[in-house]
This record gives sequence, C-alpha cells and structure tokens, in this order.
Amino acid sequence: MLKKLLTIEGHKTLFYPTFRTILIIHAILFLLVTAVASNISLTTQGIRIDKVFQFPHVWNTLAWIASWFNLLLGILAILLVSNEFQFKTFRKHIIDGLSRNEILLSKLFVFTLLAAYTMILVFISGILFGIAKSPTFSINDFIQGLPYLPVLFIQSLGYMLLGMLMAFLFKNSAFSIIAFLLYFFPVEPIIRAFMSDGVAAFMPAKTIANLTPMPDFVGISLSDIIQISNGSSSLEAMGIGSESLPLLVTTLIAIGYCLLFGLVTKLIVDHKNF
Amino acid sequence: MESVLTVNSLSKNFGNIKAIQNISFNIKKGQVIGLLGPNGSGKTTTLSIVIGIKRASYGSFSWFNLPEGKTANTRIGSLIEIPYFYPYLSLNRNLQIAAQVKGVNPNQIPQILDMVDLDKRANSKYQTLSLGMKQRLAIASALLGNPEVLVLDEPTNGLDPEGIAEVREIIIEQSRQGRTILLASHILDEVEKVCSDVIILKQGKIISQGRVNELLSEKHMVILSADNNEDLYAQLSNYKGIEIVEKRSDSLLVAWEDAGTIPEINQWLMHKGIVLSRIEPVKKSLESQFLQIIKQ
Repeated sequence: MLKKLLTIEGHKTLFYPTFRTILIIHAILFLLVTAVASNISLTTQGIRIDKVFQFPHVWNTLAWIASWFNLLLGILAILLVSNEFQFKTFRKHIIDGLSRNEILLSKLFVFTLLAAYTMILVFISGILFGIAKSPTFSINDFIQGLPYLPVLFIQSLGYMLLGMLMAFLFKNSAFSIIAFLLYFFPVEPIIRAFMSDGVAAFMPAKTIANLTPMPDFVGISLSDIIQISNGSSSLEAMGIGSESLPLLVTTLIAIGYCLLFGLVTKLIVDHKNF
Repeated sequence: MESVLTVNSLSKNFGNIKAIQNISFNIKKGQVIGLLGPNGSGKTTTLSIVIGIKRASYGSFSWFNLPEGKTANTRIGSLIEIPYFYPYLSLNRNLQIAAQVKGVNPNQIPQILDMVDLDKRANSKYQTLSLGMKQRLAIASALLGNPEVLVLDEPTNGLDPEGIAEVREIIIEQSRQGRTILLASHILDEVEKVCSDVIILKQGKIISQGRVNELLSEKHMVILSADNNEDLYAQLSNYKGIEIVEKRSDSLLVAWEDAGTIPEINQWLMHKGIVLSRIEPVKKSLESQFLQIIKQ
C-alpha cells in the first residue's frame, strides 16, 4: 500500500510545476542566505561571527536559518491538498476506490518526505560550511550539534501538518494560506499576550518556533575569551534570548502538536463531503 | 441472465426536497440501460447513490448480488458529472494515477487511449484538451481495469456534434463488446441510439420503463391481427427485418425499418395461409411521444 500511495503522490507532485518551483526557491533562498551570512564579518570588539558556522554551532545556525523558510513548506502543503479539492480529484479517488484513510496517509507520506528533504539539505550544507569554516575537525564537535537535525524535521513537519489541517478544513487555497499565515501572526501572539508566560510557551506556534532557537551569537563568539560559568547564554542574560524550556521538552510538545494536527485532520477527513 | 444491479425502492431527500422517490429497477448482464429524464429528475442522484458517493435516505441496492450497499469499485467504471483530472499532468500520467488508485495494471493505458482515440495526445497536458477530448479521457479512465459495468452520467453533455458522435461511437462499441452500461441522459435521441432499455424519470419518480424500441421507437409500428394470432406470431418470428414489439391478446405490435414493405409482408403471409384481419399503422413522433410520457 505504501508503494501504491507513494507512486500516486509521485506522479502528482514531482510533475507539478509549482511544487518544483517552490522547492527550488526554498533551496536557493536557504543556500543564498547561508552563504551571505557566513561571509559577513563582524569584527566589533572581538566578536567574530564566523564561529557560528563552525562545528558544532553550524547545526544550530543552519537549522535556525532553515526554519525561516518553513512557512514556504507550509504553503506548499496547503497547495498540495487544496489542489485536490479544486480539481475534485479526492472525489475521483474515492469513487475509484481509495479510502479516506489512504487519502490522508498519502499526504502524510509526502510531508514526511519533504521534512526529510529539509533535514538532508541542512545536513549537506552543514557539512560543507562546517568544514570550510572550522579550523580543525573533530568528530566530537561534528556530532555535538546534530540533534538539531531531527528537531528541524519535527518543526518542518509541524508547519506542513498545520497547513494540511487548514487546507482540509477550508478546501480553498487562498483561505487556507491566509488563515495559516494569520495564525502565526498575529492571532497566536495576541492570544499569548493574554496568557501568563508559563502557559504561553506551550502554544503551538510558539512551541514549534522555539524548536530552532536563534544561535547565541554573542555567547559563541565570546566563548574563547570569557567562560560563561552559570550555563545560561549571554543573550538570555542580556534579555534577548527567548528560550524558556529545554529543547527536549519543547521537541516532545511539538511532536504532541504534530499528532494533534494529524488527528484533527483525520476527524475532518472522516466527516468531509468530497 | 446474471443480475448486475438491483435497486429497491431507493429514495433520497435533500432537506424537504425529494430528489428521488421509490426508484426500483434491475439491470442484467449485457444490457444498455438509459436513464432518461429532464434536468432535475433525479438521474445523477440515482447514479451517485449506486456508485457509492451519496447515501440513500431509504431503500437499498445490490451489485452482482453482493451484500446490500456494497460497491464493487473494480468491477464498475463510472463517469459522474464532469471529468476530474490534474490539469498540469499529461493524459498518460493522469491515467497512471487513476490506474494506481484503482489498483489495476497501468500497462493497458496505451491500449485504452487508443480505444478512445487519444493515443496521439498521450503526452499532452490535460489542460490543453478540448471538451470532447476531456470527456473521452474520462471514459478512458472509467474503462481502466476492464470493468464489467460502465456507469455514465450525461457523457455527451456540452459537446459539439462531432464530440457527441465520437463519444456515442465509443459507448456503442463498448456495448457491442458485451459491457453492461447504465447511461443517464436528457437527450432522447441519444438513449434511442445507444440503449436497449430505458427508464424514464420525472421529478424523482419512474414514470415508465421498458425496451427502447417499444417505448421510444422511431420505426414504423403496425398493429397486426389475424384469425389465429399464434400462427401469425410464429410466422412473423421467422421474417427478417421485423421485430415483434409486443404480443397482445388480440393483436401483435410489430415494427420494421421501412413501411414500404407492408404489402410484401401481407403477400408473404397470404402465401403462408394467413389472412390479416387488421393492419393499423401506428404513427408516433419521437418528441411528442416523450412529451406525452413526461406529461402523464
């Protein structure tokens, strides 16, 4: 069944011009931003920015940059689902004998593969930039930041699953994209403003965004000169950092949200008239 | 004859509107059934229910004597409303997807495209097709997996005369190959040309059903009777070109292509020792007949 669904989705997506274009734009934007950022030389007061492109910091940095473009993947997810409503092809699939579960599963496979693609993109560019920028190579440094990759995977998946939910809910691509973007800004930030900080940190957009925190530029750059002893990053100490929960906890909550988005979508799919 | 589809007292309500009421019919293998009626008479609703995309409010149906309500998707090829395809994909790729969804072998795609005369356009994008070609592709998609039954809803709707002729040719060819066909149409001429049997719907109810040439024949019909109608029946059964439409208690309703042969038949019957006591031509115009049925 897996092979059947993947073949079907392969025909639909790989030969969809918009899909190719968005993926190419995604890859180019990511590589461009990374390349430009890695060549910026800030030499103010001994802070050297290129440290963030050395192992192990490069993983955090690239995952953070990649996360900027997750909205693109979310919109792509919306297009892939709402197209099927627009062309009424879900309806045709059901008439031709695909079950509602298979329809949902086939989309989940595509989004999982797309999330894996982001991870691989970051992995390969991480190796390239890391080797180019690191003065020495140690396997320890190489491995140390790697957990950011699966975390980025969960994050991209989270964006796409929320996009998928919107598309199954509204059927229409324009509505879904607007609802999707508005949710990230300003709907959830406004809701969060009325919550206590402790609860606000658990909201879906916040949780998913927190997965790939901004690298601690100052801390990393200064780490040669000053040993930060208390464990908290210098950015946080300066009040700029936003991290409030350990990464592992945030990741587990984000996985929970992914499951929740999937379940809600399943409920919608089960009761939808195609 | 093997029963293909049995429909029992099917009803469907949309709120207060009764889309169809108490629809019952039976289709046997090899029949080409026309569901004829004006727009809004419940044709599409009936077809949507039997192929499983809408649920009936009351009543039941059974395909191939399978348990009630179960649709045997691989044995039925259906084309409901307008064709649904990915506009940016080629015909070939669209059919690849349909074949995968149905779980049938994609190897037959070139052959099926040839069947609907689209083999030369296999690599064109769907969005470049004319309406007639789109409709033919939809029929091609319905033919994937060589289904025993074709369910077609208004397959010539919106096509130009050439497109209509092409689609009809395909349907007739399919019925010739022994496929059972259930066809909904509001065009009398189409049902008359394509179907063997017809069910006439009006406002969600069946108002008439039977053989096409009996209900809608454009042929000349004549009522014949003789002293011994059994003899007459036996003799006429052997006469080529004559169809006995109905055997009544006191007469026979017969039809043939050319009214000019009435004297010939009379002479032939005389020769066989049968003297006709009644020869009554029945003049029926197709359109007036249909309107007459609809008005009842």
